[in-house]
Amino acid sequence: MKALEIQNLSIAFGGLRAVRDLQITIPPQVIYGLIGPNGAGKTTIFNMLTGVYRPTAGSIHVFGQALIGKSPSCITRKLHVARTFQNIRLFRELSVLDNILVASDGNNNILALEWIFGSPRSRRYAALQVAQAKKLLELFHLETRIHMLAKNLPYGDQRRLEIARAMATGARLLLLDEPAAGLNPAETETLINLIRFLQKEHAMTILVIEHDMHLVMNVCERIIVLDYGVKIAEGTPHEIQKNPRVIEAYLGSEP
Amino acid sequence: MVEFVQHVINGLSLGSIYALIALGYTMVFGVLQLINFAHGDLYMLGAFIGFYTSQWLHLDDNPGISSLLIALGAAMTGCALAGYIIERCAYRPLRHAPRINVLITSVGVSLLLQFSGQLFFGSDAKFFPQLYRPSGMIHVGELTINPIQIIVFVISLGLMIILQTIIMKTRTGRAMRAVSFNHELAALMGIPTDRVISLTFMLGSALAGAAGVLVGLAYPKIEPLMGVMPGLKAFISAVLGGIGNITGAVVGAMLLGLAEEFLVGYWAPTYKDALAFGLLILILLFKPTGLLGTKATEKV
Repeated sequence: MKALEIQNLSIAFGGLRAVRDLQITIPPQVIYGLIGPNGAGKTTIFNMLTGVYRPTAGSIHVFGQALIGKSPSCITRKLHVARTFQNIRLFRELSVLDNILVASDGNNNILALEWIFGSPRSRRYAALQVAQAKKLLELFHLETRIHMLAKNLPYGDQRRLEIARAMATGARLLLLDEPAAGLNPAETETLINLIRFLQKEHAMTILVIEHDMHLVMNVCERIIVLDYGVKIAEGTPHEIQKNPRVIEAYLGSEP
Repeated sequence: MVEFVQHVINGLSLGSIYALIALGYTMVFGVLQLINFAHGDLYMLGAFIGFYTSQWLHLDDNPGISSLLIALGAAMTGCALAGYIIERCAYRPLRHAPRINVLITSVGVSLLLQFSGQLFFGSDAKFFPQLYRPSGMIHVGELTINPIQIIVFVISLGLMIILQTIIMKTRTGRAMRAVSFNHELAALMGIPTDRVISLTFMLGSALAGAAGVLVGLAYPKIEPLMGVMPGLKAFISAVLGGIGNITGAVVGAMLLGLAEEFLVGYWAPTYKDALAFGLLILILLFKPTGLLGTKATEKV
């Protein structure tokens, strides 16, 4: 079964057709890159994949389940799709730990009243949940900062916390929107290793939008190139680097 | 000095009732950025649910703490249900409408509740049954304290502690904090925002219902329009403390309760209602975010 199957996907905002007839197929447990000049429609695709925008036409299936029409919370919970954001969007006023717990809260069927009155079942689950959250934060090198407010974290830590939070939702398909933006080279290296680790050890399927070509070429098994809402190329990093249409889209054609 | 302490006790007792109502305003504002003007009328509804429950179960035949708690439980449950229905039918369909539409709808819901109240409960004032009859005043030195005031204060405080625990310690509370920070983001992290908003309304309404019964206990005249003034004052308390801020609502309400009591006690009782609105104007002029509110600066 495919992790992600997008067929004939289009979306129009008024007269602007931001994405046109897009086909993407991603097998499970691989890392795909989504690149393209600014305004090519990359983030728009992420917004359709998370239920924020409703496509005008086409279909999306995640692990065989139809996605279009489902609410964002349902897509995260039931289809196990989670994302990060181009401009970091953490729960700034919550602690690092709470950011993770908020995301992992939905992965149980304990009733609200049980939480309020603290039933044994809810207490056991809460302990387990905190233990898992700490393990996850350790993986992201955030274990020393669990009680800090998210807004007080250094920038690089905030980027990693966003990925950790997306993982905590129980995601199987992870959408990373420019995860390396604003990171220094050392932090980018850490991030590259982290993304690979998530794919290998956590069996994640990852789709990453990124402008940092060093990251894209090193991490992605295959790359999809988008320009003006249309897929202009797809292939291995090596193929993409040589593709004349890609070079034209990025640099403009020679006169 | 004795007189002063007396006023402090009265003020805190009055303030705790404002606080129960103000918490509902501030919680709903937190998750929806909506001033729910119908909230004061839920408090009226709570008083009437308490009234009819007492009549139906003959609670005033054997007054005591247990009777009071039964009436309180009935009012809180009834109001939580009413709050749920109001949110589901009046506000949820407007979730993506401009904020002003929702605000006007809340005024409409408020009027609906007031005049349905007149229709069903009758427009004449009713005498709230004495669910708790103190055997006498408590004397501490020269001080005379009405036990009812203590009970009102203690029950309110208890409810506020429970609320604080729910918000800070439970999964539901965490989800509420996440939703109040950012709806869309919360939904993307898998939080069922609609359910969280419903729960917030139910919690806030239950507190208003409790306030209704406690007021019935302390000032036993109830009528369908009784929610208007305390509703407005609780709203002012919430703004005073910084709307959206839970602690702020309680602090604002206590300050307003004390201020009113001192005004009545030492200066001019007729200006009691003017004081609240005067404070509102001052706070909006000099500290629009409220005493505990933080400045919201947009980063550009």
